[in-house]
Amino acid sequence: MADQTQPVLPKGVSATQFEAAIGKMRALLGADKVLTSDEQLAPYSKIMMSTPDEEHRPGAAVLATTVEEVQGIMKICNEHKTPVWPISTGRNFGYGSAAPGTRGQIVLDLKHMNKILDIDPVLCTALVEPGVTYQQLWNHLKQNDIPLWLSCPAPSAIAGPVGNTLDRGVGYTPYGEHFMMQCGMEVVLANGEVLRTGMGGVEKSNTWQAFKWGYGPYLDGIFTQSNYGIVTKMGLWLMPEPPAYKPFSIRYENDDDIGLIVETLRPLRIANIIPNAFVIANVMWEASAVIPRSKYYDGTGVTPAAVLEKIKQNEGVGAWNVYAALYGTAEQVEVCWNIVKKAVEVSGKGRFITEEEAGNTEPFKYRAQLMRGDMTLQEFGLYRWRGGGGSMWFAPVSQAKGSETKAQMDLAQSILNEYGLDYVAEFVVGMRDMHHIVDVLFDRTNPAETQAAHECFGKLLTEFGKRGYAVYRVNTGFMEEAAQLYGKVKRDVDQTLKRALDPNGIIAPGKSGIFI
Amino acid sequence: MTRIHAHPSLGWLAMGVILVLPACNRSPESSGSKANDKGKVTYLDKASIPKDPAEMVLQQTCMSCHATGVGPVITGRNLPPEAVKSFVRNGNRAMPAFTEAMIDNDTLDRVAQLVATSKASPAQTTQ
Repeated sequence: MADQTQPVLPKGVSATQFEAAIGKMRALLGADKVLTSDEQLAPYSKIMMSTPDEEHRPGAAVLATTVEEVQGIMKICNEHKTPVWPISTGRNFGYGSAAPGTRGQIVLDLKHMNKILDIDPVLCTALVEPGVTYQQLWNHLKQNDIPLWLSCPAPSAIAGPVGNTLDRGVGYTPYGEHFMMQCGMEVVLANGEVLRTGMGGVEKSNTWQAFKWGYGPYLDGIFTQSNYGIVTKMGLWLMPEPPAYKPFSIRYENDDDIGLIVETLRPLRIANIIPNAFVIANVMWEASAVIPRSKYYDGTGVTPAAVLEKIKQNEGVGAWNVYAALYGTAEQVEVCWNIVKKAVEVSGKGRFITEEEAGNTEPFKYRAQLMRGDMTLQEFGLYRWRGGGGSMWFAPVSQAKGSETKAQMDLAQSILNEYGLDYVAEFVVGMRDMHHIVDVLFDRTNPAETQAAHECFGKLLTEFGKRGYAVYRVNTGFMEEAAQLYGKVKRDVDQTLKRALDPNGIIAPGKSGIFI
Repeated sequence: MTRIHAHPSLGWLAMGVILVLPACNRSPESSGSKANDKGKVTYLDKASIPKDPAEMVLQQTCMSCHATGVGPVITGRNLPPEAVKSFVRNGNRAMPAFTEAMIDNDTLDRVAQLVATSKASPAQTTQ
């Protein structure tokens, strides 16, 4: 296949530098592992953000299979001052997918590093390479009759634990705070050295996946949402399959119930009565799993309130829909179920929907699957709600307090509606916080709507920031704006680390707003 | 590498969150639920995992959207293999693109053939 007629070059890199680097990578990896044609690069260029494709077009993509190859690539990049953008599976839809943060970077695709290196069913741990997908891991556990459960994000099957954890993504089981359940990393540094974090540096150690902290400064965190190294192995903890599992939903009728929901359920989460990262999904998030918006509304702009009321009535959807689960022995589940029922009853609102009532109906089914780490892509229904392939996740962190959730909901809704966009949202309840996840959906084939979405997203960041709310994660088109919210000193420290660990700036320049 | 695994209930006992733990061997997955069991969610088990790599991609990736109402129906429509491959490699609107590293060219050829020659499912609904 023919190369790109005019190679896309990274900022500050000449065509001579770039071609020299590509030539050496071909020699290192084999010509078939260095992708440069338009046809080969097309899948790395598909994005859902409001920023133009051109800003994220890769210069090339290279496929590494071994740690030694990653080390070799670091050497070449340093020699020619040519940056790479590492990806594991590149399924971070709505956050940037597989495309580089800035134009011309060479995608370092680690999908072929896909070995499940160890599963310890006694300690319930795993050690995997970056290209391992949740589906691959799920298949492995099932095929080998290993009774361990995964915790995965909604794009479960095609995403992977390394990429998701490194971006500090979340799942829906009791292990849903994924970075908390991560244990031990192997990292190829920009200078080619290989670091093993935690207990991994100790000769003959067998506790690399058992004890997170090791000795001295805890380093794993600086390799998440960063560009300080390339993670080539990662340990994680898996959940033993419980003897009993009880998923359930609680349906609420009014938008303003969000405060009461949080006040009712937060104590149960903190006390571990409800142990999983449960969700509170609004009407459009819930409905999108089963229908497109066009079933009820063919117009443009914001979905009218009357339409939403009709959807609620006809589709059996609440204004807010809680999905949670109980895990343990049958006796434990029964005790906890009675506590949950009592708390909701005392609150005076909320209707329970159990597995016995819902059976295999959606969205209950896919929520029940997610809360036990099974594979499902049903939540991609979000992308057909409005259609057109535009999606950006606006994900401010909120205290798990009813007053806060109400304030954030009102603010997000007013800004989105100002730009003709819908408030499609859920709260994922963490240990003390909630991830307020808003899917900013727009028709990316419509330039005016795409521009509106872009301006809207910027305003969401700004207005939330003014009130002390910041996102925990953002798409690659808005990394700089998100980083600014965290203050100058934080940014200076980020940059100091970058300069120390990657003085030539060859790993993912611009990731999380960090440059040399 | 996979080590010999322990009994499920022992694994569960290892969780720090457990307060009271009478032994119990009942597994939620072994309840024998079938696709149409009323009042039960069907969870897939290892029997659902295809052995053939192309069939695995079709069932565990493509059909996760295209047989669940999320994406349009693609089976039983005599879709040309070249069109299927183009959609997979380039994506289309909400549909993501899949790289060679995710689905190699040989496997994709076979996936496209499987889609092209597939029959309509009785459960298919018009999109």
